[in-house]
Amino acid sequence: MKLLARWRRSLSLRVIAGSSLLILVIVIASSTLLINQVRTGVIESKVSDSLVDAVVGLDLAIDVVESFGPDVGSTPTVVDAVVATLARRSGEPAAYEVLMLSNGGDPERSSNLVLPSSVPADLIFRVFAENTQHWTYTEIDYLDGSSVPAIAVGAPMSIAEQQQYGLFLLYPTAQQQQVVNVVQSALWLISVLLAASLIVVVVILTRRITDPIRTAADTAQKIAAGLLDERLTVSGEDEVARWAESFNLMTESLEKQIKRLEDLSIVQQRFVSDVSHELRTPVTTVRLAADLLHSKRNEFPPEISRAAELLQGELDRFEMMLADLLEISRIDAGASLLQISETSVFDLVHRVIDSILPVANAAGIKIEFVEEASNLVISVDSRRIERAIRNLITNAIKHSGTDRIRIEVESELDVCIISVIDYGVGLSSEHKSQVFQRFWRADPSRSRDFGGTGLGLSIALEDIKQHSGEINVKDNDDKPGTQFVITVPVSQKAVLR
Amino acid sequence: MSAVRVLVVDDDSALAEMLGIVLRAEGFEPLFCPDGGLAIHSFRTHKPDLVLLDVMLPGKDGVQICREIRSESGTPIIMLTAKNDTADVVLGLEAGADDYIVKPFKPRELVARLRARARREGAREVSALSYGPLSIDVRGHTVKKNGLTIQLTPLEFDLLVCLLRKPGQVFTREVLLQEVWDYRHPADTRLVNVHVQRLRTKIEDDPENPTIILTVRGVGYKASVA
Repeated sequence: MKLLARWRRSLSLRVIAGSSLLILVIVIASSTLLINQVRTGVIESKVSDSLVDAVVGLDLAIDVVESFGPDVGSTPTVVDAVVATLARRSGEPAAYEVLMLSNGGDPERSSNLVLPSSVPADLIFRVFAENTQHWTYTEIDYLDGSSVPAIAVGAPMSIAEQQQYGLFLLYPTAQQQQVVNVVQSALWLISVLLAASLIVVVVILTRRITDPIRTAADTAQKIAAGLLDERLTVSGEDEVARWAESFNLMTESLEKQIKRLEDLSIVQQRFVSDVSHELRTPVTTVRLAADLLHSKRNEFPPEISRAAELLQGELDRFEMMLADLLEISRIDAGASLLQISETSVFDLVHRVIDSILPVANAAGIKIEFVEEASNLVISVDSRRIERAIRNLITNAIKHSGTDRIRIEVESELDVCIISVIDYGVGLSSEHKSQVFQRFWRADPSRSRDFGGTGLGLSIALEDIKQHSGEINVKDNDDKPGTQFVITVPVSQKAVLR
Repeated sequence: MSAVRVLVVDDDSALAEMLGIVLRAEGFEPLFCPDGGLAIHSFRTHKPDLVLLDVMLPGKDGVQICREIRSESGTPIIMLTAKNDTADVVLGLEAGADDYIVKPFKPRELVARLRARARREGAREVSALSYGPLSIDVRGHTVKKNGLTIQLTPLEFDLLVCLLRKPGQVFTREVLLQEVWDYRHPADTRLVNVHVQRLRTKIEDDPENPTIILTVRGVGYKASVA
């Protein structure tokens, strides 16, 4: 399995394995062919020599037989004479061995204790059946058990026209075989060296190509991980070098682009920060002045006193709006980072309810808290989650027309689900999709009286989204009213970034 | 007792004037400096009891001015900041500011913060403390370590005395904010962290491994029972 994976993943492994296989096949095939050619050449010349010699031997044998005259007498004597003559001719060491076999069953005669099994049955059969000279490859078996490769040439012979004999001359080919063996081992050695050096060359060449690719892959991964100043080393002027050069060029332009965007983001963040300062200073002055007027309102005529009250109230709203606007721009600029800590959901929701109770009481709305996951601890930016829940509750108090709000907390696998449920007029499905839009109001003619910035739900959504969670809006199952359901991962560590 | 003199360093003339009105109404005596570059000069001439310092100023950065004033005086400094980003606030506190207030603020908040710092300046209990290598004259507002005088700001002094009065007792950051800063509502606990760190650099042999003021992880700080 591991090997298979490595095979799939490594181009160099496949190239090296493939070309090695090809090299081995070619080398083995060509050496085999060459050896066969050598063997054929060497052995064949021996065969033709042997055949010529056999004809001479046969003539000699016929002469010997004829020297006995038409009245032969004992055939074994003739056979003995033939074998002896031919054996004498063979010399020492024997250029060939002689074997005479009868077609009938008379005892065989042979030179040098050669066994009759040295002549293949097939050759004997053909010689007697076709009554002509034939030859084949064989091995000479000696009485002492040794054997040598040889060529067997056989010819039919009749003695006194009575009995059919086969004269077999066995020419040893040991010498030729040795030549072939020497050539063969030399050839194999060369083949092995050739194959090995070719494979080494292939490995080196493959490495030359794939190593830069692998380095580039590693570098690309590093760059993807954010190490933008990683580069490939360019050496030489070949294709690989050119490729590395263009790779670097590409990385450089990528780096420039990213830097540009980063700079842009920094500029925007600085802008938001500057705007915050520039706006807040005059607002502070106005706030101080309004507060002064407000504290002295009893000394003014009624209209001016009312004006001071309105000024104070609207300034509160303006400050709230400014704060929300800045928060939204901070989130948009990505300048808003989560400060994660472990916190109990129970405590978190209770803090929200405590902070919002005065507003709810003033509106005559009851808040119920049902917690099923009673001691669930979550890792979140509790300030942000509290704000999201608070904004949902505030929204319900101000806009739903409900008389009670129900908050439910459940946990499921590794998510925490917090539902804010009202029993008011509900939202149409069209409105459900718009409710998180900035400054959106369900009914522009009346909602403005309830105050609020029109950004509360948008900020809540951003708060939850930044925790990799979501807020869903749906109708209550059986009663009229709306549920806002927050889903956040229990731990931010489990969230893949 | 004469009125508490507050030096307002702010380039925004409208805000400065309005601050003046509020301060005077509350019985403070405001002094003004509209230019960051002149702030240190103005501080030396007027010798105010308190400094109200805007962070963003023409001429010189508020954080820089804060550092300069701190280098020659322990006069309480309250920063006026429009940014409540962690980095900016911590930068100001590390430069030596005792407290900070985020714009826009209500006059009541501002006055409460000023009063808290001014009262600390006025009323101080009479006693002397001795703790390990430290000997503290609470009335004379001096701390000596191995006979050598250590310069502490009033805030740092209060923080040290608060902790040393009850060695071994753990103070949460919230309690310290109440005791030393006079905060009545939950406030930024980074104030405590930064000032404990500043105090350590002055009194500890090795601020990285403190032996006098110890951190109690997840709770707060305590003076070791030496």
